[in-house]
Amino acid sequence: MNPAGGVLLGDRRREFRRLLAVSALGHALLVALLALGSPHRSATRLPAVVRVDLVAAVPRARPARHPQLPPRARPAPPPAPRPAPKPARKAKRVVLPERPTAEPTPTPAPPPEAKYEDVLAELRAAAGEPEPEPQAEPAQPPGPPAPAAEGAGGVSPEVRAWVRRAKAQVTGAWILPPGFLAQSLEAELEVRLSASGDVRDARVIRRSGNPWYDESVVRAIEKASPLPPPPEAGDWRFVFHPGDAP
Amino acid sequence: MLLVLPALARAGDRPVILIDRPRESAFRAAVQRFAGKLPGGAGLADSLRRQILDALAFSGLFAAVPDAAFLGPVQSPPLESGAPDCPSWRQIDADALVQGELEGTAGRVRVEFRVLDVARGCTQLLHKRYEGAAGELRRVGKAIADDVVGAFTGQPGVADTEIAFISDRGGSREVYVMEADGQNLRAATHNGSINAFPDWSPDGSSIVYTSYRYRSRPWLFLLTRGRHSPGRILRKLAGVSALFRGVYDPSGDQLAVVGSVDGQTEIFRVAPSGRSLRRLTRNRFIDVSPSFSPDGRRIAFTSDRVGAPQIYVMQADGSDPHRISFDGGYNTSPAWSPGGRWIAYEARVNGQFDIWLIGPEGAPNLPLVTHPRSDEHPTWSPDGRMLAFSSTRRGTSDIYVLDLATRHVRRITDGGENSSPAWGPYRR
Repeated sequence: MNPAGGVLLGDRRREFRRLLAVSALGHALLVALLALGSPHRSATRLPAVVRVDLVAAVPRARPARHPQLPPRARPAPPPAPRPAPKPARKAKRVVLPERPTAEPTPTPAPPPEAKYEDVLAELRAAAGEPEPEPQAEPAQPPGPPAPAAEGAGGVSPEVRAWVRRAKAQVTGAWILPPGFLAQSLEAELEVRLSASGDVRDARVIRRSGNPWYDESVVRAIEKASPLPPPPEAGDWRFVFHPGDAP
Repeated sequence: MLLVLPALARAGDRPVILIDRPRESAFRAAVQRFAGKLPGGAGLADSLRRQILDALAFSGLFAAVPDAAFLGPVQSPPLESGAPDCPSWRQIDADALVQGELEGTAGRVRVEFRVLDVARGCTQLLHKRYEGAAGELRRVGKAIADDVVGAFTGQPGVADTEIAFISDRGGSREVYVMEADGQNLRAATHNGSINAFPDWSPDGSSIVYTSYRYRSRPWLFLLTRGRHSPGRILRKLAGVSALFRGVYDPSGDQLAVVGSVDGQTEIFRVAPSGRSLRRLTRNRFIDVSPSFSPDGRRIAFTSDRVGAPQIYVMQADGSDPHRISFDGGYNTSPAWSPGGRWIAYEARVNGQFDIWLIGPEGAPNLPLVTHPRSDEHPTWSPDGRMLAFSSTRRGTSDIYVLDLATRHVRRITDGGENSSPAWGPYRR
């Protein structure tokens, strides 16, 4: 009896130990995945909710994204669901170069190569990498303004990086019917940003003359909110002027 | 062109962020099913919704947010129930939210709707009502879609417009009229003769066309929407033995007509009543195919005075005719755009016709429709975003619509030989 019981117990114990080992290993793996995942959870880019894209999107190169990570339940009930999907929104608006871009076109359209570069720049901006070589930005412009203009005293690399990311995010949110492109419209907004990048207010301080164009740029800023946290909370200027970079 | 930025010191040494390229050209519309107070209401609400979505797709400027993506309900709340839950529409990236109600009694419907700008806090851009016969519900759906386009772009869409054209589907070449997407196609003439070159009056109430039904000679006729069409017009024109084609000027008070006088083919101006006849061209060459500029001050036309048809522009009083097309040996059928910036025309290339665009001064000169089969007779939509034309690309001649922004081409007729399209004006 006892030896049988002892043997059974022993077997059971071994089995139990094996199960325990497997379970411990499984838990350790899970904890390891969670631990690896957690620093990125605090990054503003990685979405906490799996987003179903109804439009075909080019997958973005995100740092250390773990596909086997289960969709994470939000830690708190979402009173303001707005912040969550915003970072993922960028993924959807990548334009593939099948747009008609033939030279003889009544509405000017950028050539496919330029769009590809733009896509790369946006990917880099999302990853927080500096551009390999600033294309339209001379390194230290002494006078003439460049896109993402730099001040007389020079602009720090962090500010420049933030400007690039903000530009990419707002560009991604700007929808403008092609009929506006030929009209050479320009509008300037003063946007009040909180420390976390939320758009608190957006005022048109220089109108384009076309009210629907002005509405489209306000819409772009609102849709892009929250922007990446700015170097400083406060008022930042955005100029919207499509096309004709020299 | 360099951008002059405001002094950076004013912005506190903060750089100004330049956004120089929009990412998208099409908005996203969430259209709810309108709340119905109609017997058999759900069916009508569904077909109205379908029509709004189809017409938005026709515009090329709006993509529909699919039902499956809605976080909010597909069914619209009653309009007096206050502001919608904007975040749930923002989350699915809708730009426009369209809500409404429809109600009615036998035979008549009343539709009330509003358009909200989701990204800007669901601001109401538009709140409007349409009333009409129950059979007009399709037009109401198109009108709503056109209004949504107008609310976001400043220029209403053209789903609720019509195209007149010539078709032999009934046995003889008659004038037909259809909606811009090809729906509601019906014959406008039934005279059994040869009819050609329909052209709309600017207010959309009349169509002038050429017919051989009077003594087998070409003359101009007028048909109207009402019961009693004037029929043959310009009956007493001194010296004119035939009239080949007529087009309205932008005011609707005058016609430019191509007529035969003393054996010559010339262009005249005349009121539809026959008054104020004025000859604009005076030469031994063939001058045809007039098209007014949108301000009515100039006329583009075709002339073979250099030996082959080329495009010319003259002042509306006939002065200063000068050639503007210098590429290719055969250019004809000019159509001046509603915005005035382009003249679309037929260019003969390798024995068949393509449609090109030329600036009113002769430059730039760009190919637009270059299919190897013939593409002819361009006509502009009233918002200048689209061109209709006839093409034999699938063997028989059909009317096609080209969206200038997307270059998307769609066929809108089927059956018979269809040609000579003329796009009508806004109807509201």
